[in-house]
Amino acid sequence: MAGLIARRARRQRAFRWIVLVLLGAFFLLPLIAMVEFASRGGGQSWRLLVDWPQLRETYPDLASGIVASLGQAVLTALLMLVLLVPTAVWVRLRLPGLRRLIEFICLLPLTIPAIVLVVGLAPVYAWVNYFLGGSSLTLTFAYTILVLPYAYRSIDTGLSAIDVKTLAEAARSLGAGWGRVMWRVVLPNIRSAVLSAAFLTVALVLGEFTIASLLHRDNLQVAIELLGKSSATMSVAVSLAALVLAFILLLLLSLFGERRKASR
Amino acid sequence: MTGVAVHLNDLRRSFGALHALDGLDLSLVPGELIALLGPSGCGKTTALRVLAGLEDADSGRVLVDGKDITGLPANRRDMGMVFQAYSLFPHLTALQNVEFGLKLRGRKATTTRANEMLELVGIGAFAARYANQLSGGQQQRVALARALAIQPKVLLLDEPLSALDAKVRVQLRDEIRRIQTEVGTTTLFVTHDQEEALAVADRVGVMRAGRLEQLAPPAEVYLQPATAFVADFVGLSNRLPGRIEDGGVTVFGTRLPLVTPTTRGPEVTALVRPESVDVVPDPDGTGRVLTTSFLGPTSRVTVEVGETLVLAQIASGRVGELAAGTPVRLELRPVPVALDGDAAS
Repeated sequence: MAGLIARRARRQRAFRWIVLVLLGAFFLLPLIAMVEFASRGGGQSWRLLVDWPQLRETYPDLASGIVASLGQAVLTALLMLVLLVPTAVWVRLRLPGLRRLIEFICLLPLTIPAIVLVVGLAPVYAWVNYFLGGSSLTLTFAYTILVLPYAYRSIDTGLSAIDVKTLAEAARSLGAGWGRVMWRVVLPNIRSAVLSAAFLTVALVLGEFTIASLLHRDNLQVAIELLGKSSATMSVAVSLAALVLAFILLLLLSLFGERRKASR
Repeated sequence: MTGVAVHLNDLRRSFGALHALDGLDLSLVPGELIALLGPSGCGKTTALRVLAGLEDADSGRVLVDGKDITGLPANRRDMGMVFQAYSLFPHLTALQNVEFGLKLRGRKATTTRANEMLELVGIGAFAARYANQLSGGQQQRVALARALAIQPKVLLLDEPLSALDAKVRVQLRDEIRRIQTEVGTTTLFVTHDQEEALAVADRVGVMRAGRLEQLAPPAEVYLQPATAFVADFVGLSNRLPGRIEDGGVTVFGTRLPLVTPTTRGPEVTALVRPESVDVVPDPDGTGRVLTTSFLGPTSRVTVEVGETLVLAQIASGRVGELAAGTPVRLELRPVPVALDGDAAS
């Protein structure tokens, strides 16, 4: 009997390793191929990537795309937090009946293809152009809508983990106004949820192509696509770097979440 | 700190068709502890939340220390509150929780004051702990210290003991009373536990359907309930058939005085406390013992008299002579009783 159980355990262990290796190969082989391709020509692409002045001189469109994407990512994360955190808290405190509706609205962008979103956004952006000009940073508004499903989920999960109503009422009874309730009581207790929403936002914005391209704005992905026509190795190197950055962000998110759990 | 007077005048608050407060009038004298008692949905928590400013009344006025604070937001009312749910800020230590309100007020020496308050509630040794490192009773003690640290005009306790186990509940209940007497803050204590209310309060307010049925010292509420509802809700009562005679009610041949005069009758149902009923073994008695339940110093005896079941509470030392089936007679003590169906006075 014991031998049978040991044999079964060995088989299960072997099966797990096979699955892991196959999945690893599925994910890693394209990445390894990208590394190999981008390293052709003596690794010139990698050297350029870490030499910002040289990169800006050699590929000015790529440099402006990177700057635009970073600006969009930061602004989108900020706008998303400013809009979403108070809304989610207020809905929980005062308008619990609207929770399902708000959730539905926030999840809508997930169900609408980006190309369809652009059709709706194009006339809106005509007005944005008119009032704010054609800066790539104006994509922040579209991206804020695009990240709503992910950000809302993160923040809502964070708020579910604490008794927002009681904490807010306790703070109010101690003399805190709504600003202080948000800043000193709610935010510190949903810090990991806020960080999670922000990281997801940055990862999403750094990888966005369709809306930027169709609305004729600059960003990293549009720049990579353009670069692919003139320098395929550099384009692949930048794509890989963006991918690694997104991985690092998600890894940080995961590590931060684990550390928070361990400290409690 | 000396307490202040609090007046709730004709408060009304509806949630759809439900009238949580239906013209509630309540006055607390300075330094007094009033316990609001009543069944779920009677409006006791709503009354407390309206006083705290966490809920708006549809109409009526809230006066504290002579000032009308009806329109004042919660954060400017200067009231300390302890909630039913654990409400310590999870990201702060016990000490930081107590300092929170003091810092908002720009007070000096907040750490000293916070430590004093933690000592007052007997939890000074746990100042550096976070909420998740404290037991339920310890958390509520910190919450009490936090509420008292700001020297509130009024202390509001919203069922603060209901989440605790029985032993801790009794300990903390007595602590709350000791501390409240020591600091002298006017206090409103909401609870659905009648034992708790009777044990800690200067006066107990029994609420029903958004109104006060009776507001009186604990002994009066128990011994002289103003209405049948109060008699029924506070403690146990037998519903015994009686007959109105000479301004009193005769039950099982004994004439009992009435809490409030009645025009009803002559056949009525009287509400008689189990401890007002004595059970005496008597071979010619009309009753028969059904069961006995041991409760420690006292025991409950259920007696069948015809089709009526009567509950009596007697000293446990006498239970030996009252085995099931023993023929007995009932003797009622002539204490005032309420009648079933009497309206609020």
